[in-house]
Amino acid sequence: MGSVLLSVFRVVLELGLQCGVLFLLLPVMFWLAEDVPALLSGRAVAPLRERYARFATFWRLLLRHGLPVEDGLMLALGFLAMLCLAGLSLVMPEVGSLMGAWLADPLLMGGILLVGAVWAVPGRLWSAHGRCCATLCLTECFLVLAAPGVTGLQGVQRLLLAAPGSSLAGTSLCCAVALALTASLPGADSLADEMVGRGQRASRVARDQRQVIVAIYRVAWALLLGDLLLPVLFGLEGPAGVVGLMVRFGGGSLLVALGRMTGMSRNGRFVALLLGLAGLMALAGRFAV
Amino acid sequence: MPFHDPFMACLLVLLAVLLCGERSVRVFVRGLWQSVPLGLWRRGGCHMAGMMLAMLALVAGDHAGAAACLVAVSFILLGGGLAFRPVWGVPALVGYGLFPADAGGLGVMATCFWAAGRAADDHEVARLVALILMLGLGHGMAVLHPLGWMLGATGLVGLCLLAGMWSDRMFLYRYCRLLRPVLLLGVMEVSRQQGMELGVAGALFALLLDLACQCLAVIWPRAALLMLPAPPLPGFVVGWVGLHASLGLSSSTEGWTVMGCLLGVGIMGLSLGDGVLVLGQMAEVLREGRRRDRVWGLCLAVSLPSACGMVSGWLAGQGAGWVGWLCRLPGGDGSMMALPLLWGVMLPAWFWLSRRRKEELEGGSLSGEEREELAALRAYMQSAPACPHSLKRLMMRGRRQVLSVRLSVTELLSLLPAQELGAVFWLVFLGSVLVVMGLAQ
Repeated sequence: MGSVLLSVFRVVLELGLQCGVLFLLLPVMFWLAEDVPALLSGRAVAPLRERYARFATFWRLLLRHGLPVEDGLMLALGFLAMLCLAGLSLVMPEVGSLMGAWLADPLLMGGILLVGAVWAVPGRLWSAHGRCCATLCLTECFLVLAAPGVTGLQGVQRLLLAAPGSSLAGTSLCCAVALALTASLPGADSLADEMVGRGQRASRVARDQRQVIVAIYRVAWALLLGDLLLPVLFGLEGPAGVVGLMVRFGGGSLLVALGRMTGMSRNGRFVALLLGLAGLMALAGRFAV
Repeated sequence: MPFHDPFMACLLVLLAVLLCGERSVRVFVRGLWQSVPLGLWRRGGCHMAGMMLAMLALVAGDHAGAAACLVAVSFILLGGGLAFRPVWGVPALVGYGLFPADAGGLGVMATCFWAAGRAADDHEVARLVALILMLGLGHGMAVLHPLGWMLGATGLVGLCLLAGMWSDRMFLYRYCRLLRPVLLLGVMEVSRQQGMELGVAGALFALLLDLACQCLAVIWPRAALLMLPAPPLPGFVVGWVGLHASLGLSSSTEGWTVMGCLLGVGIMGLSLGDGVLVLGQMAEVLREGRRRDRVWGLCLAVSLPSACGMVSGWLAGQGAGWVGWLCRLPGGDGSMMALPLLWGVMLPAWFWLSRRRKEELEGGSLSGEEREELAALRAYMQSAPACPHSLKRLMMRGRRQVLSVRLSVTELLSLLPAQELGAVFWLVFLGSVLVVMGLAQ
């Protein structure tokens, strides 16, 4: 009985610690994903502590008044996806490896993020969503083809540590670049256009809350790209996991920024080429064994 | 393995559930002591007789000729004369009666596809009965020639599309729902031929879940939303498990490597096409959504995959491990998805986040809480944008450096033999492929 209680307590402690680390890191991620590119292009942006203040206001208003039903569902889904993609394990490694292996599946997590995109801007961008979905399916296929029997990103990381230099790394890298070129999550301005165009009588606070929720989805998308780009850094134990999380997030947001800057996302042929390269690598690795 | 009979029993149970819950049958039963419009009552009676004949056909599956006759009569009753075309339907069914385990399976498949495609929107039940009949009666062919079964299904759907293009655009998407279970049955049989227990269990689970969802969607039309391929819903589970079952086929058998990948992507793509259809039909239902419906839908979405998993585990002979279905759903290749755990964490978080104490945030009422809202707004508006001067100077210097480097790079590139960008790209592509081939060996 005592041991069961102790393990339950440790699981709760682990989940609480992971949530706390994410709460601390999310404003930094928002800042890195939105403000730093603006700063580098020569515009003036608010300092980082402003992000913290906004995020604290978001949670304070949320705790005081609650959210509408849809927004609550989407916030819960997005935060869970973020938690699974972060791949932290602080106190109890079993919980982290369970989430990393059984939940951090690229198709599952990418599907959740796509649902968020469809919810935020419904009715438009069908072709972009469809392309993104097809790319996610092919990513899953190629990962399983390059490494039969892996489960989730944790399995990919274990296999890469066991056999470095295999074709699995190249496959997941190509898939990450292809996914970055098919990014279909709406930006802040298109979301604002959508909310104005729908003509809801939502208050300013509700609109700001929705912007924050969609920003969580954008950050999680960049994190998914980073996980596929550098799968070796997924699910490290202890404080190294936090460093790995930031490095992966940096890589992913770099990919997103490059995709947006070069305007390659309209070029469907390039995506097809990258996917073909990923498939070739997966097949080469499979037939070489 | 004595497997054929439990699968048939499962299909029979699905048909019985359909018979108990379908709307026109309910109208017929109510018409026995109340007054209902005569046309509706007659149609309900026809549907009921057709479904009972379909159950009889499944029971009489060993005598192929009798089953074929019953199939024909039940289609005529269900579709009101439109669903069965005697000109080629009778020879096809005679072929099935002669060779039930060989090419004759294609005959019953063609008849069923035609009947299901002709069923319009108010004959939703005819489509599902045709699908169940096709799976039950064609199982003998699928066991012996699974590849022929899948190829035949794809070709026949193509033919039906060519023959049925006249009606509307949604016609294309309507076949997605029909083709997916057929492909899943084919994957299951191929896995059994190759001796992969995991693949058999996964494909069977996906097949049962798919059929159960379609059955629910016929009985309660709002339940069609459960078939959306959006992640926590059962429709996504069908696509994911089907994808992984065929990927397991491709990763552990020789000769199925590429075919398995194509099959998996095909199954997921059929799920997506079906989702487009469901979204088109259910958009207004999704918008209005009453509270009680939502609660029922959530209960179904949480419990349906686990329940179908337990049934399929019992059918595949692993009934002892039913507890595992409460926390994870296995794909067909050894990978797991802890979707019930995700639901278990998500539901409390959702209810905790979306409790709504005051309504004044929704509307534009600025009466009593104006001051508080203004205070909240000030926190959002406090940002003082800044761009430090030193950073700006650094960036200008960097930009100048980049310009000069770009000039020299252009000079260097003009010396290269290959001038076109496309040629350079292809050379780099080829080089990277060769490097990877070298790395992989």
